[in-house]
Amino acid sequence: MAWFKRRHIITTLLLTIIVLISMRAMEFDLTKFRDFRNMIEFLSGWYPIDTEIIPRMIMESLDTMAMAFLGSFLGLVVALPLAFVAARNTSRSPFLYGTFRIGLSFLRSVPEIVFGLILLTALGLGPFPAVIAIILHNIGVLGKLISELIEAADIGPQEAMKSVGASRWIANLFAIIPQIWPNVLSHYFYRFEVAIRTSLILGFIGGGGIGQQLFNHFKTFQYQAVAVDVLLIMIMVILVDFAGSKIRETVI
Amino acid sequence: MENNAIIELQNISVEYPGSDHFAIEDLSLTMETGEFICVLGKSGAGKSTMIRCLNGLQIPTEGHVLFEGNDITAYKENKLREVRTNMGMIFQHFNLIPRLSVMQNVLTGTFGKRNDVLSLIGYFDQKEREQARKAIDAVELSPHTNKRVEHLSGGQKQRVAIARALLQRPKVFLGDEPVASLDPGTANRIFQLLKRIHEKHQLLTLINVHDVNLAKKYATRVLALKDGKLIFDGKPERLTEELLETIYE
Ligand SMILES: Nc1ncnc2c1ncn2[C@@H]1O[C@H](COP(=O)(O)OP(=O)(O)OP(=O)(O)O)[C@@H](O)[C@H]1O
Ligand SMILES: [Mg+2]
Repeated sequence: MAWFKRRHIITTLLLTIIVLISMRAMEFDLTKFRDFRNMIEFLSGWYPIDTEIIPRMIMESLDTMAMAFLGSFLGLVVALPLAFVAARNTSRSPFLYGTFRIGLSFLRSVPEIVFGLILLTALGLGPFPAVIAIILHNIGVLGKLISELIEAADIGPQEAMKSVGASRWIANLFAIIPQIWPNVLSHYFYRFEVAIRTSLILGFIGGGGIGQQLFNHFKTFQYQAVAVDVLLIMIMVILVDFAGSKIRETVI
Repeated sequence: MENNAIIELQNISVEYPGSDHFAIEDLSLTMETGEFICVLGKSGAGKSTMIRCLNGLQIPTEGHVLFEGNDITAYKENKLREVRTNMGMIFQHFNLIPRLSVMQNVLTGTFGKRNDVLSLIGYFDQKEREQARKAIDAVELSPHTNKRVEHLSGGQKQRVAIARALLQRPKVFLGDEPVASLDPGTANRIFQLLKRIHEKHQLLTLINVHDVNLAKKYATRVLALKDGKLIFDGKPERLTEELLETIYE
């Protein structure tokens, strides 16, 4: 039958082998869940949640939100113009295009935590190095994603703007941005959501916010406080996701 | 030759990079204000390439393009932009800016003449808005002024594109198969509109068409291209069955 070509069988075999090798390396063994009673016991220690600290933890969560928002938003603000230089169709020269592509790849390839640890040495503990780390990484990620949207934009409106005699930048702005805007927004909100999770990790290295609280509560075995932290984090992620889809709806 | 020639092509050839043949080969032509020219030719004959040479979207690999007596082939981008502001152009797929309203799309016709911060944020003054309203009125779209363009029919979209071109106050009106995606009735009405604008504003109009009947009905002069070469240049009455066969064979 034409549906199952030899190529498909080979692909399946290869995938299976890679999965098996990876499982071996990861000591992947479901029988280990024999001890799941321990986990239940551990989790039961989370209840009842520590209601007293809720107001203070909400304030910490707002810090985390601010960190994630600033990091992703300033990342977007810088990434948007850079993306035009890093897109083949709008870049002024192949040299600039190549240089910016590589620059964005570099930013993307360095994890936030590494930026954070490096910046700590200069800026000291606190949320500021964490925000900068998130900005840098997001410039790399959003810059690449947006430059791909620019490259895929319909050429028609760009031709029309050229033919009225518009300058390059006006043509780009008016012919491309309205086309890609909804997709830029959904990329942005996804990165916002990711930034919330990232800022938790950065909290572990002294970035502040709910992440740092979570880390401290864990270290000092205050599991009823941990429960509060986890709940608040879940609420934040859901809220951002919800706000993102609402805003996107009004834009489309 | 009288000197109301507005565009002159002097032995232009276009060869796209990586291609093994000329898209346009040794083409010479003079076009005058007041002419309504239709260009015939089958797919790949070079119609789009020729029209794009007229407003400098394509620079010929050889030869010269003169606009009002000035050779534009050597122009830098800035001077070319200035030339383009004199030429309105419409397209087969309308090339409107999606998600903007009719009004906003029409106002983009002013972008050639202004290049300031205000246009960057899309600010237009009273005079420009008034001109846009007039242009929208001229293409009979006033009831749709604030609609988003993707909610319009094909014929209406092309009218928006025409209004946008009108806002340039052009001397030349170019159309690259502007009715190829429209039904015959709508196509005919678009041509009526183009003819009306042509006469009112004393333009040179040059339109690529597939439909020979439209060319016969509206053109004052017909050009035919085949494999990048001009094989006919004359009054539409002179188009014979035999000629049409050669064009489209
Ligand atoms: N960007 C390009 N790169 C390479 N070759 C091209 C390019 N554009 C057009 N050509 C070639 O140049 C020739 C003329 O093309 P052109 O688009 O001008 O024809 P046309 O008459 O407009 O055809 P159609 O009716 O299909 O629009 C064709 O052989 C085409 O393949
Ligand atoms: Mg064409």
